[in-house]
Amino acid sequence: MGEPSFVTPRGIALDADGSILVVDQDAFGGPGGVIRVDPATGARTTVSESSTSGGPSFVTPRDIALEADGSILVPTRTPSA
Amino acid sequence: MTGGVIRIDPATGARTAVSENSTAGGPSFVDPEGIAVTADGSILVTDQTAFGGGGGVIRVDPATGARTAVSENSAPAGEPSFADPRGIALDATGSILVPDRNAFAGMTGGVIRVDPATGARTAVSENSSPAGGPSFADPNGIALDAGGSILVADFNAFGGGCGMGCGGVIRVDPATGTRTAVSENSAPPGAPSFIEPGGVAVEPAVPSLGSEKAKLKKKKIKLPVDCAPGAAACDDDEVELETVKPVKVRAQAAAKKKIVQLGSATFSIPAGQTQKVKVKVPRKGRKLFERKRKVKANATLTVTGPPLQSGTATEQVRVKAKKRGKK
Repeated sequence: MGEPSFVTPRGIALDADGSILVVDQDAFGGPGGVIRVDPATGARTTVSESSTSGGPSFVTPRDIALEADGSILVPTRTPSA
Repeated sequence: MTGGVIRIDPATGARTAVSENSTAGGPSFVDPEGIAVTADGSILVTDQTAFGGGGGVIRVDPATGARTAVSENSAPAGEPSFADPRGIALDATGSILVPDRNAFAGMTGGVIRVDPATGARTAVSENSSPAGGPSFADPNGIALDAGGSILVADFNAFGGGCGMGCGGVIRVDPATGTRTAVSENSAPPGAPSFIEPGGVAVEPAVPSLGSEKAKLKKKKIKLPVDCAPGAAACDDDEVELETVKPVKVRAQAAAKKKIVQLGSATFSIPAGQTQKVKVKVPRKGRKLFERKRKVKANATLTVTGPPLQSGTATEQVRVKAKKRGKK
């Protein structure tokens, strides 16, 4: 598996070790997710996307923030019922 | 649409729901857009179209997910009104700053300050007030730099109808609202060009060494550290010292050359000041100084939160010990 590709990167934050975290609203085939970018090399790695790691799915995530313990927070839309 | 807030484990990527409309009371999410965390750990979310369409700011309890309204157009009543609130940032006093893409006359957008206690909204900057400077078109992302200036990423400012958008970054004076261009495609010219910049974050200013020289005295290196002017205060930042090159700790021919740790320390220095940080030298390091009076060291300075951002820089310093026999 290669590096994740950006599609519509929208929000950006820096984590405690200087990594760049980018939330992309349309990456990973559409639903979006969070990509970590190495600030020195630009290399991209997947932090979380809807098909892995379990939990609620992303729908158009557009911003990103960090809690004091380093947890990542992302607002998401959900399809209306 | 509805929505919610997801918490992600940064190591595993596992997601858990913090808050969604069906599991906790309070105002409902419709189009949650921006997110920030307050000093006490509360989560603040801007929602473009909550509260009947105008949008507003919702506080989320990080433990229970319960939502409460912070500010919306009818509570408290008064201008300016939200029309399409997007990003969110907090200034040093805890005030909430929100770029709104369609607020103000002409729907050209601006930046609104929200009182975190009362929800009262005041205009920080919009195209007619103050006049002059680059105009907002679609202000979307927001961050504060170390000096407290507001930085706004605008999808389409500087555009003049260039199709896909010709956005850029605008600096806003937090007191006067004065707007100045930070970067746009024609100034300075060069690649890459912005098309629709939506978010903005600031790399932290890292403290530097106040001198290329330091002294070892009473088992401690006194290292002058300059807390960068304009930076927030250096609070619990770290410095680590080690030799630049592998060296022999003992003089014997058979001794192996190694990088020798010369100690580490945390320090807090007010912004813009230089102070001497005392770094206690461990035993091996002291042995080295018994053999050599001058040691070239790499000092690695690391900034840690808050805010939860970090940066590191490494600089060289020449450490000189007092003459042998003197303590």
